[in-house]
Amino acid sequence: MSSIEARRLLAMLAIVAAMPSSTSAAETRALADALRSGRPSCHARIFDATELASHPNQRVAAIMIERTAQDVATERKWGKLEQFDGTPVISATLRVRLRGDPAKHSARLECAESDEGALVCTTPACAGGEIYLGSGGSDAINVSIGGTLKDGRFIGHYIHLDESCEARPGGPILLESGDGDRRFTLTAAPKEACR
Amino acid sequence: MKALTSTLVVAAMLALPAAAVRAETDVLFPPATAGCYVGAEVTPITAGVAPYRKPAVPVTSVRLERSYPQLAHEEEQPPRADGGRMINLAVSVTFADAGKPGAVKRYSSGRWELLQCTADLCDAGNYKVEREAGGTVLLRMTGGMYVGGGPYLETAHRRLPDGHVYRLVASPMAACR
Repeated sequence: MSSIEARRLLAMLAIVAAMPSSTSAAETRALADALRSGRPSCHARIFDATELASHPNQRVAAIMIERTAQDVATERKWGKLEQFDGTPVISATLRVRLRGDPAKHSARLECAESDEGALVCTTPACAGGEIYLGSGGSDAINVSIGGTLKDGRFIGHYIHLDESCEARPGGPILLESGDGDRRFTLTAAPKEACR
Repeated sequence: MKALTSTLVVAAMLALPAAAVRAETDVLFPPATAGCYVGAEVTPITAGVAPYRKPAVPVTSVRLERSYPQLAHEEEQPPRADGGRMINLAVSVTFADAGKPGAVKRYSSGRWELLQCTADLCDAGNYKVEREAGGTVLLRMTGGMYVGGGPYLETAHRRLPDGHVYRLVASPMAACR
C-alpha cells in the first residue's frame, strides 16, 4: 500500500469514526436508559396511607410521568430540527394527585437537556415554573422541584399543574417543593399506573 | 483605659457582621437571594412611545422572578474581571387577551439573559430595572424586549416596545407563581 493510499484510508476511517450513528445521539442523551428513545414509558410513585402519615409535610400522594406514542412522535419531530440549547428532547405528561384532593392534576412537559446531564422540564401552558429529571438508578428517574445552592441553602420552586395559569379563581394549582415535596424517585411501571 | 479599648473592640466586632449583612441586602437583587416583584404598566400617556403592535394588545401584569433556576444560573457564571455583579431574572408578562380560548396565558423572557447591577440599577442592555423608594422598582424598556410563550413548535412572540415602563412591588414568592 502506498503512503498516499494509506493516508487516504486513515482519513476515511477518521471521518467514519467522527460520524454520529443514528443511535449515538439518543444513547448519550440524559436519562437515555430510563426514557428510551422511540419507546413510550411510564414512571410512577404512589404513596400509601402509612407513608403519607410518616411524611406530614408532603402534599404529593401520587406522581407519574408518562410518554405516549404521541410524545415519542413529537420527540422524533424535535430531533429532526436544528438543535439549540433549550431545544426539547423529551415530551411527556406529569400527573400529580395531592393529599386530600381526589382529582388528578396534569401538566404537559417539554424537557431539554441541562449542562449537568439532567433534564429541565417546563410546561408550555404557563411559563415560569420548572422541574428537573435526573437518573434514579437502574430504570428509575428522580423528579426534583427546586434545588440547593453552593452555600447549601435550598431554594424552592414549582410547576403549574393546570392550564389556567394565573386565571383560576383561588389561585393556580401547583406542584411546589414546600417542606416535603422536594424530590421523588419514580420507578418504571406499566402504562396503566400512569393513567 | 485598657478595659474601655477592649469593650470598643468587642463592640466593633459585634457590629461588623450586622454591617456586612446590611451592605449585602441593601442592594437591588442581593446576591443569592430569591425575590419576586409584581406590577403593571405606568408608561406616561404623553410619552410618545410606540404602541403595542401585532397584536395591539396591552399588558395587564408583569412579574420579575428570581428563584432557583435564576440563582443556580448566576452561580455558574465566572466572576467578571471588572468586579461587576451579574444577575439573571425571569420576566413574565400577561397580556389583556390571555383569557381568550387558545391564547397564550403568559409570555416570558429568554432564559439565560444576564443583567449587570449596581446597588440601585440592573441593566440588560435592552431593558433596565431601577430601584425606587418604598420597595418598588421600575422596569424600563431601553430598546424593547421580545417575550415568548406556548408549545415549542408553535411559540408565539410579542414585543414590549422601547420606552414602555412598568412599576412593580416587592411581593411574596407565591405572587410570581
